[in-house]
Amino acid sequence: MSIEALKKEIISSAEKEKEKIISEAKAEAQRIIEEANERALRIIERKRAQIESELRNRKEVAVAVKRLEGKRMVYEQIMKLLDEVRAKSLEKIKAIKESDEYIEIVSKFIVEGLKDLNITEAKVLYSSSDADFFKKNSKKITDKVSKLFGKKVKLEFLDSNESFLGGVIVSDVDEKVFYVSTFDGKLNALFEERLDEILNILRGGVE
Amino acid sequence: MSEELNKLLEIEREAEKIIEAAREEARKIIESAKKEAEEAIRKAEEARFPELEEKVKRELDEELSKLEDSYKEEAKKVYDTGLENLDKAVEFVVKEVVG
Repeated sequence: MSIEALKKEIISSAEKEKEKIISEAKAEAQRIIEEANERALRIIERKRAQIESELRNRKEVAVAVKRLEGKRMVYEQIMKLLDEVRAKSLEKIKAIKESDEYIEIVSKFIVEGLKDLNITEAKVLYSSSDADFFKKNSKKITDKVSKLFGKKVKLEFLDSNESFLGGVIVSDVDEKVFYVSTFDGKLNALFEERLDEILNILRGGVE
Repeated sequence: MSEELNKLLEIEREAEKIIEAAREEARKIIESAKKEAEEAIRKAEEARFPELEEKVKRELDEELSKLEDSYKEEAKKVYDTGLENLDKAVEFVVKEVVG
């Protein structure tokens, strides 16, 4: 073989090797890029899912907070109504105290106390603010109680030295047992224990 | 003979240069691909989704606004109904206290 022919052969072989090297490099490059793109896609999907989850959580928290605020708004209106009910009730109760009806009411409370304590002789404690009323009406009340109770009773009316809205506290003569029947106590108990009934009426329900 | 051997060696060196150049080109191709790959990963890791956040924010604002309106309406209804029945409630309370 001549040198020229040999040269042609060797160079041709080198060119083929070159093509093979470049071709393999391109294939490897393509594989690297494809793998990277797939990985990038997975990263983006994962990040998107993560952000979606974070946004969902933030949304749930924001909605829950808004619901709480909304319920507080409704609750405030209910509290406002209850305050108005209490205020108007107090006005009416005070008005009743100024009327003749108060004698009837106090007499009835005392009878309930006597029955509850199972006594016929009792001390009747009243609010300092009612001192004039009881001084003026004690005999009338005693007679009324005797009539309602069905037998003669002996009552001693005493200033409790406490100021309450109205009503009485009945005790035995030794002041060992008490029957509390004050307007304040009844009013507070009503708003604590039977609030649902008041709310039901305010909502338009039946008493 | 010596001249022919020299020519042969020269041809071999020429062929080696071709292959060496090919290897260098291949190295550059791979290097470039790796850079491209790294860039793709970097961009993915830095990816933000402002359109998604904006969409969720819009939906949330709308939902919160509806909720607020709904509770305002409920609060008003509760208060108005309560006012309508206020006298009945007062009557009940007074009756229970003094009755």
